[in-house]
Amino acid sequence: MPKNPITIIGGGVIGLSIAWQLALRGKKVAVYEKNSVGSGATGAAAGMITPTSEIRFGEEELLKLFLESTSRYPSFIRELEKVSGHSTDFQTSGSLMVAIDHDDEAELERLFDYQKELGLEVNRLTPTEVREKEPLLSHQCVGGIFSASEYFLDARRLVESLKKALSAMNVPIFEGKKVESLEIQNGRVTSIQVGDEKIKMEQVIIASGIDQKVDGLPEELFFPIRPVKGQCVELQAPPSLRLIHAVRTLHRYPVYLVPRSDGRLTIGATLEEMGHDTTVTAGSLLDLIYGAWKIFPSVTEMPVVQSWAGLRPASSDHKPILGPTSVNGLYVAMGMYRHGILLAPIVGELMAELVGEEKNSPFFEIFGSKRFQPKYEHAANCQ
Amino acid sequence: MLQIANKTFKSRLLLGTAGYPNLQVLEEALSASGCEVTTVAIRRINLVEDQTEGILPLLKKGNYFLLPNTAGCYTAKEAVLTAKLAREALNTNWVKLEVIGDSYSLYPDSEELLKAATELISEGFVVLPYCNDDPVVCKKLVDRGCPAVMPLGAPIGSGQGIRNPNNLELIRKQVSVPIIVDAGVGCASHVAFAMELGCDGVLMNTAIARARDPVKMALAMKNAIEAGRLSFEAGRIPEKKFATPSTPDRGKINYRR
Repeated sequence: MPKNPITIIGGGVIGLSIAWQLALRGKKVAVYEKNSVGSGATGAAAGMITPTSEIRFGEEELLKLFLESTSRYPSFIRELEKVSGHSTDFQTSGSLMVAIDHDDEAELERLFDYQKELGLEVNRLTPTEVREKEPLLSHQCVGGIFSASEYFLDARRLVESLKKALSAMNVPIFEGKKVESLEIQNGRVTSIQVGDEKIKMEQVIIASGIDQKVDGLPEELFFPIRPVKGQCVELQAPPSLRLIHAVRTLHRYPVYLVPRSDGRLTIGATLEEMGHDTTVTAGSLLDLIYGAWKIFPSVTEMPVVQSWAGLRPASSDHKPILGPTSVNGLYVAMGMYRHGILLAPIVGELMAELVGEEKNSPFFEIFGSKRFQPKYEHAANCQ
Repeated sequence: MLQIANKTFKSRLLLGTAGYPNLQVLEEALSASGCEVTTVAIRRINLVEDQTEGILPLLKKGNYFLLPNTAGCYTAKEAVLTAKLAREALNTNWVKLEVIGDSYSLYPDSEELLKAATELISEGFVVLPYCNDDPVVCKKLVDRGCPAVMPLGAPIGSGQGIRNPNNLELIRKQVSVPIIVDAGVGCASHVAFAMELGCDGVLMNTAIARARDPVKMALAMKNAIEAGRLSFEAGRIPEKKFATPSTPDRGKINYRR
């Protein structure tokens, strides 16, 4: 058995969740984060755990992982908040997807049929039923879908909670420590290089986001991950103007609105292919606020608290990359795209079981790192 | 063969690259469609950074002919600037010129479009204009030097199909350059119909990108465009009011002596 701690590269929600699950299993583990914990995609997330509303055609396999994770969320949070003593503002009121005009309704109907086909727990609502649930929504609303078993939380509070819980369990988190390189000998990880220091390691989990630049990795472990930019804006709702549910639209400027218990309201998020750019732009704020105003007219009265842009790590098929690699002792949990918060409990558990207890899972077959190797050769037609 | 300006294309299908579920589906759909020309919205992609992953690297790797578009431009000035940026960034003087007149219908602003087309052509661009299905505007665009016209079949992303086939037929009579129906188709029969009207190609995006199975829809579109073109070339029979039997009435077995 290895005597050195299991090393996790990346202190986002995934790295921290894996560390937490390993610690719960009594394993020695250490987290290395090049900036500060949650400073990447995690900290920019709106914190929705909404598998039913997020599922799209062709993502049936991902749905299984989503549902496994969602069902674990209430106990994951209970345990975490107990150990850390820090609230994550976890809310269980469910989510609403609403149509603003009849074109939206056609889309809504199409999604609803699909959700039913998948056996998901969803209710189709009339405009009156939508406003009974959420009386502040616009009278333009022509219908909705309610998903009862969906949750949302404050992602930054979640990170803080994980950090405190890990500290309570004596798991070291090295912030501002970049793992420069990995040493691999005879197909096996032997050490990591942090600054000038070479540290012996037998087991390393790469849970980094958009930046996977670690020297020493074999070429086949450079996965096709690209940043997908997302901008959000946060408002402060007065007590009389607070939403109860997470609300999502599928209008031309689609948005979601996520209420916090202190009255803050997060409006997100754009999807932009802009490389590593994290500028907050007027056009995106306009789209977000316009989209929010269409369904919740009172937003125009609220003070702006902050706005930000983050980068989601997306693989070419938008599915996570999970499990063992061709190198012994080296594991990956990457490419969570828009679903890092949602997937944290299940990925933490699966990876901890794999690395800590050598327990395999069929998910490592479906979402395994191998799938990118042969595929990248077949280029398109063009005679 | 579809000939536009100095280029010849085997495929008469042109595809937009936005709104696909993910890059892998995009790659497979493009491949299934057999298309050679793909459009990219200049405002939607980062041209500054040298990316290894993303839409542009994927299109370059697949050797697709890149046609930058000026989607989201509302004035001639904006469109001209965007076209020039595209020329610098992508090293092409081809542009799909879009100048939108109204954000609800996304209909072209013909006045601004003509202005932008004239300016870009004088600067050496190959301008493929997204335009109304208006024979007069199409004629003017050709007179200014556009090597093809791209009238809409219906509003962008609406999937309504060819709303005014009569106009497309009129345009066919008015111009001799290729007509590419740009926008509005929703399914394979729309595409075949456009081709049967004598159009030379169809440019689409949403119909494939947002289909439940984009790769299968791409294949359907490929077959439809080929079937529609063959049907046009084969020369259809005239429409008649009454039935004409395909076999002669005489010589039935009952009447044999």
